[in-house]
Amino acid sequence: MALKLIEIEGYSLAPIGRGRGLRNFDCTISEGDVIYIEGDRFDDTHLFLRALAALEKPLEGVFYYRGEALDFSDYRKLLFYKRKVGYISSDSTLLSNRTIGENIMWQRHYLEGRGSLKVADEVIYLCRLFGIEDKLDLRPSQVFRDEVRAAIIIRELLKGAEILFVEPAGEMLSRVHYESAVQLTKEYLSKKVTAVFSYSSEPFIREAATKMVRIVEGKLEVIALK
Amino acid sequence: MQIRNPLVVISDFMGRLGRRAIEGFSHYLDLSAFAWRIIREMFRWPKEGRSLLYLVTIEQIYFTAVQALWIVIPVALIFGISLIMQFNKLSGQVDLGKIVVVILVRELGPITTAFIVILRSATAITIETGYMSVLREMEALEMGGIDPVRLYALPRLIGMVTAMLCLVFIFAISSILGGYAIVWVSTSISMQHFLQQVGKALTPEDYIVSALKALFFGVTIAIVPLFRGFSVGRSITEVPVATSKGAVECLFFCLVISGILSFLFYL
Repeated sequence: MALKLIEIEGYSLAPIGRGRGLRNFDCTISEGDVIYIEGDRFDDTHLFLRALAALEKPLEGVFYYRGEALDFSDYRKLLFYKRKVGYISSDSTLLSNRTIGENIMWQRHYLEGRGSLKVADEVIYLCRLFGIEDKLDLRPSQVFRDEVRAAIIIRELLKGAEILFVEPAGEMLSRVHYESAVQLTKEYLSKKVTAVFSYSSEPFIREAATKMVRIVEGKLEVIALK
Repeated sequence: MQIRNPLVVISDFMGRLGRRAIEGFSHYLDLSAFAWRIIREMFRWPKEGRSLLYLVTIEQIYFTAVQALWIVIPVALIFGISLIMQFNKLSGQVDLGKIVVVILVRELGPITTAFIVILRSATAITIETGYMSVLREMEALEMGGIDPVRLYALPRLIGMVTAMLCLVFIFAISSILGGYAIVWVSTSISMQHFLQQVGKALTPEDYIVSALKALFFGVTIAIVPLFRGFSVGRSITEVPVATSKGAVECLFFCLVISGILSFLFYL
């Protein structure tokens, strides 16, 4: 039996934007699960993804990661969890006062204790894939939105996350970059990692999916597919 | 026109007054808790992220101290020249050194430096922090498992205090040099005599008070703008409001600190 990575029990979340919020739901994500989410409102599916990334404090309920309950009373107690998840979403950002290269390398240098923010060789490969290798010394405001998105994808993939939470890349990336993102996602899925995709219309994700989460009128339903 | 019951008017007024008092008290409690949180982080000093912390601290010292030199030095020279010129006429060249120490080193130097740093750096910190909060950049740091208070706020506090100590010292030296320039041009006092006067006038308290003022000003000018910046919600229009409030608050706190320290040491 696959190890349960995330268990959410009796969770309720206040609405964001024009959503209805989420009411009293349970959800389990095990190792190797590929889940895609669909729903009647983007704000609600986005809220669910943010909740999985521990970015939303619940109104009620408990969030277990590897059997340990997360403590939302202090954001510092969530940092260990956030380090282990990748979050590629419409509200993911880069630090505007740092270059693209520094943004990509920031976390690695922080954890490894290196003073220099030099870009590593394997990062160059990913940057070449997205066509941003010559823009690493520019700030996010000096490049196209599309290239910022590409840098966010690279940053999150480099984290070596246990679970990846992804919002649709199609709306965020141009065709060329989108194909690179699809290639990377396929590589990622072939490694049998855990991933949650929101609103993905890509057939290969639906084929790989082991579960589907449907959110209608603020109610969440988990449907096992395999 | 409807005439309101005086009791209701008084009750409304008292209610508003009470709410404002509670809000004010709550704000200062939050600010103190935030200050304590950053200062405690300074003593925790875990190995993780230390090299990046040094890097950001050095950047902050560069932005606050080095880049401010072009304005701090000329202002100090102008203050030195104009004040000594006035007092030279007023006192007839008697006790010029003492006047330099009392006016420039003890009082005007630290507070003028603080004003310059508030105008340049405190506003910049509030704007930068506010925008980062609005644009979810703090959240991006957290998603990387990095504590924004440790990597963003702490280096700004250390950098600001270091920069203030250096700038207050530079202001004092520059203003004395400016003072000397006018002494050299318009009086018969020799450089040696003037510096002897300054040297005699300087007491250990002057060094301590100047350093303490620089230290407390640095802490204030770092923590208040950071707090204001972190308090910005999701709306970009909150940033200019926070910047303005932060700058005024810094100015007020620095004046109060300056007054309290002068009172404690020189009364």
